[in-house]
Amino acid sequence: MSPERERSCRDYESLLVKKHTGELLLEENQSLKSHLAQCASCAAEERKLARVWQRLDSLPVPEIPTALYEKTRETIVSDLKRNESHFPWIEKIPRTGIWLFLLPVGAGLATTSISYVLVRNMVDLRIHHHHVLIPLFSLWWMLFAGCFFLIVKKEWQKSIPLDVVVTFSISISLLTMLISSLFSGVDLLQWLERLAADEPFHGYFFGSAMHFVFGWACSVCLASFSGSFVIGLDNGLSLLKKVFLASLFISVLLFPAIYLHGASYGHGLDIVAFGVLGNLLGSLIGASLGATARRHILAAAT
Amino acid sequence: MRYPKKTLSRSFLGSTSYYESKPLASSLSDEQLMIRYQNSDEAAFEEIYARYAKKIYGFLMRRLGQPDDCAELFQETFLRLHKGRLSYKPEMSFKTWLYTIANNLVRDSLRIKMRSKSARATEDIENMIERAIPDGNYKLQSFKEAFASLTDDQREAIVLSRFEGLRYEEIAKVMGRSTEAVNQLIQRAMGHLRECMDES
Repeated sequence: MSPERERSCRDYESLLVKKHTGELLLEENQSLKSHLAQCASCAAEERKLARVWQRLDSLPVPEIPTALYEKTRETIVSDLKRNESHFPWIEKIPRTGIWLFLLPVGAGLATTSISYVLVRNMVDLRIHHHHVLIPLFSLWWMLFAGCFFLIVKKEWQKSIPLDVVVTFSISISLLTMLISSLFSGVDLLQWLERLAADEPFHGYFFGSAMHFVFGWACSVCLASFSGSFVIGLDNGLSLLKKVFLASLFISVLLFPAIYLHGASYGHGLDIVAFGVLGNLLGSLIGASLGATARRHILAAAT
Repeated sequence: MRYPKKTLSRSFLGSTSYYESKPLASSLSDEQLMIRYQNSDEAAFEEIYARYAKKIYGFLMRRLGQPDDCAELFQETFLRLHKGRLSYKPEMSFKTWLYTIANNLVRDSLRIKMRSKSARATEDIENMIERAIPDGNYKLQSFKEAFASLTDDQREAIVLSRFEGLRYEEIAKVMGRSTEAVNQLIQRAMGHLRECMDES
């Protein structure tokens, strides 16, 4: 083989492998073809490489075990189901850059403002507890902002307890308005004050003033009921544990205000106890009825 | 279009999705499927898994040889894919991304093995080959021995090219090397295998 030809063959050596790996450019392919037609040595080399390439196929690989395939699939699918979005409209929210921070802040401020507008008429700040309301609204605002932040970050699982708290909070505000309007247009605290003033004429229940305490317990129970009903309808009983936890959390959040209000009329922990009871009872009944309604609707749909 | 029962059991608040017309997952590219998977679309995950589970297992077996190790790394690869799906950017090739995950796991595993028992990894490959050889096929056995005697980098490059169908550019990304380095690895691997075949 002449030195000139050898150089040429060396140049084509790398192209021979590239031919099999599918990396040849069109012009390289044409050039290689014409070279192989003239060069018996390179043509023989090409045949050897082709055999090697084919022989690689003979290396068998065991099939993936069915149990492993299914187990891995199941693990991920069940995790996907757990993290399933409960609010698909949120998919449309932009979640990059500055929006990741602006949206939660904006949403938190907006929802807290709405809550404040709804609740402010309930409270006579000359008598009652602005020092309670300020931290209460601060907490609400942080909850809303935190909730939206997690949702925008797509950490659905972590946001669910906060979702529940938000639902409860809105329910309580709205139901307070409803109760106020039902009782001759007076706001809730005034209504409770009126009941408290009538206590001596209505007697006591387990040592507690019946109307005053039950007024609070029933309103909280109704609020919990509506929030839990929506959650039960949407998710069945899968979130029941979280509903209860949120219910307790709401109790902690709201009941300092209730306690202070009760204390103005000589009540103490009894009002808190009945409130917690009302809250949990409302959650249980609401979630159960919601889940039952869901089952019926699903059965009808399928 | 009627959706399957399991879709109906989802959140009522997401009921708009019952009536949305979705193209079949099988008609979408890997990257399109990943975007859906990022939005927790179960069907998209199923399709990706169906496309890649066997390939990834094959890749791991060719690289490691031990079924137990492969099973562990196989699960870990898909769990990392699942946990890291939100960090995937559609401008990246999904295939490259997935093989990079699997390859990094293999490298970590081999590194640990090399520390604990030197040359154990090579033994594993040889063991795998022994198990796979039909009895009495001497030529095939020699070829498998030749394959096992490739350096780890060469084997990695050849497996990604020959069995996983990756381009040099993609292999370079998976291995964290240059395209030319990949070319050299494959050239040397093929040269070594050819020489072994000549000898046998």
